[in-house]
Amino acid sequence: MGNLPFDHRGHVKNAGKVMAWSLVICLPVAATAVRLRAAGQVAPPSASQIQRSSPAPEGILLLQQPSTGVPERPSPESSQPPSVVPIAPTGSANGATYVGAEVCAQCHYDKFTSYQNSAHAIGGDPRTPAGQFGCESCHGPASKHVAGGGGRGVGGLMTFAASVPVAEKNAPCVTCHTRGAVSLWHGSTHESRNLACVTCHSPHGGNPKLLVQKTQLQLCTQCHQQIRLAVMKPSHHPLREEKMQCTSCHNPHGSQTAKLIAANSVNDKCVECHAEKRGPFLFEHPPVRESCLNCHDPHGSSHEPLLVAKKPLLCQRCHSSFAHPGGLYATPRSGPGASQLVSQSQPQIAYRACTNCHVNIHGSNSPSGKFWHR
Amino acid sequence: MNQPAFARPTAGAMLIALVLMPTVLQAQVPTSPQAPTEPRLAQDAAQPNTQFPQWRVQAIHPIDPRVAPNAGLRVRPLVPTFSPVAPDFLGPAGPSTPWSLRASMALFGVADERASSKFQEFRDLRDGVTAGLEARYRQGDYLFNVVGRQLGRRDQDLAIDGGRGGGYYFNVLYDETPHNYAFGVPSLYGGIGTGRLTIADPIQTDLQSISDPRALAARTQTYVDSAHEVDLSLRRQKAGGEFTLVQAYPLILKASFTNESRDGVRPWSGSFGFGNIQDIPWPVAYDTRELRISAERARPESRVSVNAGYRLSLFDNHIQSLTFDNPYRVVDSSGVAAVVMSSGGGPATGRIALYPSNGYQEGSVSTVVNNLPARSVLSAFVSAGFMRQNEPLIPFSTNSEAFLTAADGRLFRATDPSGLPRLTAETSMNTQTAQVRWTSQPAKNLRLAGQYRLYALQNHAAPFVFPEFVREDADPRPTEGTPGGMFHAVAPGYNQHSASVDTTYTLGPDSRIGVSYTLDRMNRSLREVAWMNDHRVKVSLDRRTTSWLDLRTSYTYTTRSTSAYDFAQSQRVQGLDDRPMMPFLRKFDEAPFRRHDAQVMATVTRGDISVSGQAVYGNTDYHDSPFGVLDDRHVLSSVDASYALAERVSVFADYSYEWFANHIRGRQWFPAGPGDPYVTDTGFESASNWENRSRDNIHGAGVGLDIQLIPGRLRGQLQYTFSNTDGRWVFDSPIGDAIDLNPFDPAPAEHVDDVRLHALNPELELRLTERLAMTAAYSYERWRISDFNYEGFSNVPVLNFLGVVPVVPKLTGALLPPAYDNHVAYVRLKVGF
Repeated sequence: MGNLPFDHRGHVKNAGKVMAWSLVICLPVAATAVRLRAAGQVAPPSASQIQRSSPAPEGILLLQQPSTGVPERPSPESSQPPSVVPIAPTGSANGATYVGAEVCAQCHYDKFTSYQNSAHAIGGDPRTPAGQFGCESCHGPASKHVAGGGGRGVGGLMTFAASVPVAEKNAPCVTCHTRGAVSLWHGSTHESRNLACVTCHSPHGGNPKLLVQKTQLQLCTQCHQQIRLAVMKPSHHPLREEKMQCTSCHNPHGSQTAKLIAANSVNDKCVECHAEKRGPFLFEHPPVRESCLNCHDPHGSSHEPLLVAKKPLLCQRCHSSFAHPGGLYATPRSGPGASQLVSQSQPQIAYRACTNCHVNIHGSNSPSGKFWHR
Repeated sequence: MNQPAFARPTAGAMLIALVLMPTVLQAQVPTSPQAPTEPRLAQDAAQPNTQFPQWRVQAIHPIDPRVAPNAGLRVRPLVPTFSPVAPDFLGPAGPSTPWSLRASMALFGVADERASSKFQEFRDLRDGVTAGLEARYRQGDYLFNVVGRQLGRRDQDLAIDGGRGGGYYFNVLYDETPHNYAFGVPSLYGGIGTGRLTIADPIQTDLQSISDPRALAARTQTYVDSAHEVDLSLRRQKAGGEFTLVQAYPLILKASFTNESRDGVRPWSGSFGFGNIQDIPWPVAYDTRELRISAERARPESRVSVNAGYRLSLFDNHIQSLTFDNPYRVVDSSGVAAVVMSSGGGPATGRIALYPSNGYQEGSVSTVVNNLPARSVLSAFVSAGFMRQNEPLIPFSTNSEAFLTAADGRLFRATDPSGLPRLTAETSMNTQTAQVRWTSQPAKNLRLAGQYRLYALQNHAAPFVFPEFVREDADPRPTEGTPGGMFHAVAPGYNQHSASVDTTYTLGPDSRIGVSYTLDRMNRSLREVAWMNDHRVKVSLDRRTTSWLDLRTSYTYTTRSTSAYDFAQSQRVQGLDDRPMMPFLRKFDEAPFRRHDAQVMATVTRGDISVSGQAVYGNTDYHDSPFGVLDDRHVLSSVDASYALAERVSVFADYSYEWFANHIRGRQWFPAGPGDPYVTDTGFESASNWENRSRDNIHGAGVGLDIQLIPGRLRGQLQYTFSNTDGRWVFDSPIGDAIDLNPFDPAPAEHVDDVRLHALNPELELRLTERLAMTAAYSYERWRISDFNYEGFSNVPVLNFLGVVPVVPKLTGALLPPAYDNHVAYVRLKVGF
């Protein structure tokens, strides 16, 4: 497609095609083999198959053996599935105790399976709910809920409903999610505005990162509608093409920098990808060194490339020295100077305007680059 | 218009169908249940993790079925996603199935792949087959995931992650992103993509012989009309991986490495003076390698968590200078005339220093202390960074006829590197970042937060002092003003302190009011102001007045004060005369201002209708600036709605309107001439003043329909997207009685980057079986642009201020992508195992 330049580093140019055709040929073969070997698909239990436990004294739970493939975990002491799962009370506020995820699965099979598919269910990891109390790690001890026969509002479980205060909803999450990208959650912008974790995440959802929407852009622009408009502008980062995400630049959980920039400064973030502009240069352009946002709008702009205003007016915001920087680049409509051509000069306004000549506007490493011509 | 290729069945598509058929047939027959593989469930309740915090179970709350706190708003995808995100017709895998494999093949037909570079700007849409893949494996503590999209295309990506719970995790990523600037544009240059751009000597010889500017422009255009055509594009390839070791929990070790390569060309410029501008493609051959290492110790019940990290980033530019032929000169000459003429003088070649290779290292430490009195949390972050760049310097010029005087008075040829003050850049900068944040809840309804932040940048570049340089390889330039003066490279630095206090009071179960104050203090070296203080007060009110109305509002008032504005600082630091600088102009990033920002967002949810609206207002008044930016305003209003018409039908729509307006003032002047603020017009008023009011209006809209034509079987989607940007410049300039450098009434520029985009995307998805679905979709896009650049400057006379024709041949015009109408259709088969 066109005259792509010579690849002086000799990259394999047809890797993409080879990969695609390999998949075309090998994928069905491999998939068939897997299909033959994989364990049979177990259909979820029907309502009639789920045996709801009858009310029982608190602390002791009688389990009906389900006739479906809902698995149960034998106690360590016995190789036989127990009919009674001993529960040790843990001192919850209303006296409820833990019953185990197997019990939850009997009624909430879809929630159970969605949980099983998430990182929360990696049991060998002591940081996860599966390494703690399973479903009850987040929803609280369920013995009273089970003893009461289940149902909405029974047993005082944490439901994460819209009516629950945000601080209560967040408590289960921030108990564990205290490190890494969320370590600066407390006092962060979103936390200060009373956003709940479940505003953006659905632990029982199937989207990447358990977001409530399929993509970050869809999620964030629900509130930041301005950004939705911005990414649709002609000059934009490849956000809407899904080659970048909001978290490419921001950490919505908190950051050491304003506007939740996931770096020490705006410029530090920009040069992670645009490292060619990191410099330092022999001849610096000071407003560039201080902030890329002096000239650019990274979310999107009408003016290429992501400029807050079109040149030359962008540059004339700061430069009005004698001769051409201060020139009036406009068409004479009337007046004595209507035919006067003093201020009319195509290079200063055409195409890239000032940067037709001042090409190294971000900084120059040329000894003759004092005015960024070279 | 080309016929879409999908209209003709291809051998490839038939082959795919034949290969898949046995698998499809197998998928239709459910297998009988087998012994389930036992999943890893919660730890035995008889032996709970005794370190897990105690629970405070709250009172029973009614469960809101619309737990999704976005109130069920359906947000449309912004543009059609031609790759599968995650085939969702299967639902989550059952606990007894360790494997999940979903794949898709799509056969695309594109009416015109090269309709416009704008159509393909960050995409690779063309006829043929692409693949998508999502494979997952969970067995006990082991997991493994693969997600691949657009496989086989230049915008493909592949992500692999996995690990063992409690042991280790890894992820590997490969991503390709194209950036297409222009298709089929003419260029006189050969060697595109390298550091040497050449024009055939006969062309240079011929053009050098033409002295009349108009004839020169005409002859040049003749050569351009027969020049070869090139595509200008970049390709970004990013590959990397991350490894996390959890084995030593609560100590978590993490290491990541990425390499990003960019190859191709970027349309840009090079010039030899006012009369000689060349539109040239810059070569791009970058590698950016980044290594990150971190160690973190934290566990939920711990009071203190600590994180330490190191980052190394190396940028390598394989082509650090660009030498390009001057089409109008085959032999060198130099002098002032060369700067304003085209063929009358100047060098045969020019050389630009491209971005230099550089390196950056950073070390950081952060800590969080929980469970302090009054439910307080203290966090602290410290980092130090080091930037280095010491690449060899190119000589002052490529012009063999240019001679310069060195600092020691010696005369040397500008092409001789021995005349340089030094042979390498010797630039470096150090940065420090520190932040301390404290949050507390001393009372049930009261939250307090305080924060201090410092960011400092010191510039340690070695002084670069020289008496003369060569402007645009054409004209040796001595320092102006002060005899015997020297040019200095200015090495600016700054530090920024930010302190804030934030208070939030809970008025009721769903209402909060917040007040915050922030002081930002910035100290600068070698800029027009030495310090500036920003005082910012913000008030926010979030309130859920009823079960169906959620309101969020905020208002921010910011004022900036600065030290005395030294308008000629950059001249003075070099020992030069003040006079080139406009004494009345205040650069907006250093000028005092008063700013108002207000935002309101309301979400209404009633039954099956959800509506969200937002209004934003911003106004910055540079009250102390007679010239430069005088004010800057911004308004946004938007509304977003979705409605479930029936159980199987939902519609959604959104509309946004935004405008930006700013007002700047300038003056056109010459030393000792009209408008000279030092001699002729020493006040703010002058006939040579001018003002510009620019305004950008942006409209965006979308509407969509989602319908289950046959529940669980056939689903249809229809989506329409519209985006319109409309810019305008209005000028004002007095027609003075005195001598006036611009004695005319300036016309407005009516079309400033006016762009309109329409996109229509219907889609049908048919679920054939539990494991097989087929999608058929069509996309229509229409893109139009109107801008004064496209209008050929019919409103601008062809002679420049010196009465010569500036030759600006439209060699590549890569800023002017053509309008397009394009059609895309595809059929996708999705299979699950």
